[in-house]
Amino acid sequence: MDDVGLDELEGHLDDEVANEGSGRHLTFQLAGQVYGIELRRVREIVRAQRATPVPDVPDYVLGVMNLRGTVVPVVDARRRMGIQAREADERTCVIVCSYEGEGVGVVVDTVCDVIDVDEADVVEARSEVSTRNAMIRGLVRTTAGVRILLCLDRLLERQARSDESVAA
Amino acid sequence: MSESWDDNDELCGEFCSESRDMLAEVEPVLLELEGSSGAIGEVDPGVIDSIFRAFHSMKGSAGFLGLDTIVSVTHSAESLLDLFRQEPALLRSEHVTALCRTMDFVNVLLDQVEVTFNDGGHEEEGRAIAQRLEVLIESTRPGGGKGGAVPEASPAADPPSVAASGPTDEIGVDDAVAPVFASAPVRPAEASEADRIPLATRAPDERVESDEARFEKPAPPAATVESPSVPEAASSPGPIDAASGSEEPGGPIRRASPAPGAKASKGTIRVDLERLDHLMDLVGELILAETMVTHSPDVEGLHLPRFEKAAVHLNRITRSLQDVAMSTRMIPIGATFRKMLRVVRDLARKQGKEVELELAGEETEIDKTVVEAIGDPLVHIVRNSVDHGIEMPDVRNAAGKPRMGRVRLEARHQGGEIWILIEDDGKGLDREAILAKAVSRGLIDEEAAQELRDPEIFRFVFEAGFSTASKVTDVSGRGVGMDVVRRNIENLGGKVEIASELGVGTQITIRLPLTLAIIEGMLVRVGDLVYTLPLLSIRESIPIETADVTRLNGGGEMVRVREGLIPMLRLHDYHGVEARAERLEDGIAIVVEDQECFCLFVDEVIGQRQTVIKGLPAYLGSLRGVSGCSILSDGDISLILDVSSIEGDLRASPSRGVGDE
Repeated sequence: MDDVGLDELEGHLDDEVANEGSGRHLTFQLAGQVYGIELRRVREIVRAQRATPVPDVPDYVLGVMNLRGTVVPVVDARRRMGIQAREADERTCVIVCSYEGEGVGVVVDTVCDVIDVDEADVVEARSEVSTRNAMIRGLVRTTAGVRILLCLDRLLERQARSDESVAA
Repeated sequence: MSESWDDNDELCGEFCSESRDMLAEVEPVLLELEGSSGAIGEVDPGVIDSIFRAFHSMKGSAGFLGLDTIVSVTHSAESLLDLFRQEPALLRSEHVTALCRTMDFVNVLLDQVEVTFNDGGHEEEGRAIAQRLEVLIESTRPGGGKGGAVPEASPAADPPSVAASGPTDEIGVDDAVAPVFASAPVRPAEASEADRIPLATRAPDERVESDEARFEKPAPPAATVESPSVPEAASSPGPIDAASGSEEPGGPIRRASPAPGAKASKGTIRVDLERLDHLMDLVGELILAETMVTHSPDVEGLHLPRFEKAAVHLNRITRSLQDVAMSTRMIPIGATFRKMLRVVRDLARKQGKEVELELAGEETEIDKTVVEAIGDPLVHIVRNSVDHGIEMPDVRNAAGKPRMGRVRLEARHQGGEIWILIEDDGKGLDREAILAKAVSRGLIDEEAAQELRDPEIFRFVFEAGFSTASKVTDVSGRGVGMDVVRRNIENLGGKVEIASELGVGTQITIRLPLTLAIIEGMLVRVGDLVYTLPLLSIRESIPIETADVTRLNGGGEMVRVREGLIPMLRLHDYHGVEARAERLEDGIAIVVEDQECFCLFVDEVIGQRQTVIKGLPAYLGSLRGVSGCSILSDGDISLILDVSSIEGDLRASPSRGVGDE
């Protein structure tokens, strides 16, 4: 895998975010598959920490975490994508993204790299895939393999509450 | 006004800024009412009510300042709105137009009031506006003529001064009112700039300035007065403008006036409240970081005398830093109290009563945001005391009381809270009259009414639209006020209590948290989670047994607490988390009180903590029974429970949060 150390990547991010290359994507892994999201939406990457669960939210919202005194909601990318959830390990990361002016944490198995994506190279996912998963905006082939590009807004889109789940 | 008061300009300035805020808040609401449905079929009565209240309190304040033109137009507007409180469906766009015109006019007057402290010279325009409103009232009144009789005119009559004030030019203009604004002595750029200064940052700043002369800041260079740029006039008056925190508040007219600049600086500066909040956040973080260092597992068990010594020193500094940071937000309540002197004096004079106001605890310091928010409720209560409480001198004489009525205002610290007491030696609350009114309004049936105790009966006074005054005065009796008072205080996380004895007097106690930024909370554990319960709402905690609990047929549980049964809610079921206490005997029940008492069942009580309140991320939306969160000393997040919304849920569906045992 072409992943890099977290600290190394963090330094990397500072430069990248500054020049706002919109074609740049941060890639991360979920269950062996590599996905990418737009780098300019990434605020920072932190190690996984315990999230305090909150009521009245869909199951993929793990709760809130304390990011240096700021309370940040945390979304589990696995559950959101319909992938079997798993315990966090030492490689588990939280990508803090901007969503509607707020930071929202996305838990991924591990972060990999920053890649350049030319929009012309992005191919639409096959229809049955995209209907199954509206969060995928396309695929891109890199030297290291195929990367699935995700639409962050759809990934984080707030959905109807899983309400009344605890009613007697 | 015949008499000059030292604090006249202070009061006028405050009135102007408050009124502008209110107008700025009301206008979009009003326009939205119009926009949401072309024909305005479905209108939320609550929205109408809030607009009505804005005019009502503006009228009240203007009355005390002797601003007669403002009183007359707001009175008419209020009467018009009163119709829609009964019958919202009657509201049509011509009404909205007329109300907007009225608000524009008031804004024009406010500009003058800020400089000259009176609203003279506009009587005729005022009359025209009031007349126009009266015509609308007549034609709108159910059974009256149709409002269509009132002519609408072409927008061409719109003069520049009105066009500059933004949203109004979206509405059709009618010529009965429009000429008024053509003669208004306001330059376009000024009007727009005054509008553009945002509510959120402007209001606090300005109040600091007027409440506390020591927050004075040197006047801006004269150059800014000379350059009211026309392009600015065209800019839209957006409600929020983050960049304008540095804007000199007070509006351009005040800038032009030499008075503020002439005041000497007293070695203080004005600071954006946001910065103070940020400072508080950082101090909170610092304390957390300090704990992480001094209690780090790496140094645990080591004998490190020098480290220990340094740690103690560090701790002392961070604690003092926290105190200082907190105190920057605190201001004495005195200025707010002194506003009441005027309220009492004018009202007493108007009604031919003799009333003296006694103030105590003026130096008591309260969080600035609390002080600001408590002003209006206090005016309402004090006004009520004089209007309904204190009797006419002859009546008092006959009752063997001194002719001079007494109203006493006191603020004091009481166990981590601020208490504000408003006492009068008037006629007290008439238990029977309140009961009769409550029954007639269907708040309670006659049978149940007989069993109510005094505190429960007096609580009806805080219901919306509840007024036992037989005639409507321009001061009180419309039934606006006490419900708003209660809501305002509850929004601050406080409580209001009322005690009264017929013929002897009434005492109202407002209990407030020391600050909005900090909560005195009780930490309770449920499973792996730690919740924070506001200490203000906790009555007691009691161990319970299965035998104490009764299951209800319709779902829900009642628990026996001494002589009574009160509803119980198991917090873990309510929030769907796993509890550690499987059996009732292993956990503990906490009796909390909002409107009524109920029990929350939790695993254990951890202890009392003072924590900094943080808002929930907007991403999560509103969470059931949670008002915010705070960060614990170990860095974990604790949800702060909202007892009143939990009580609402419990009432709506008692079966929520019942275990399956």
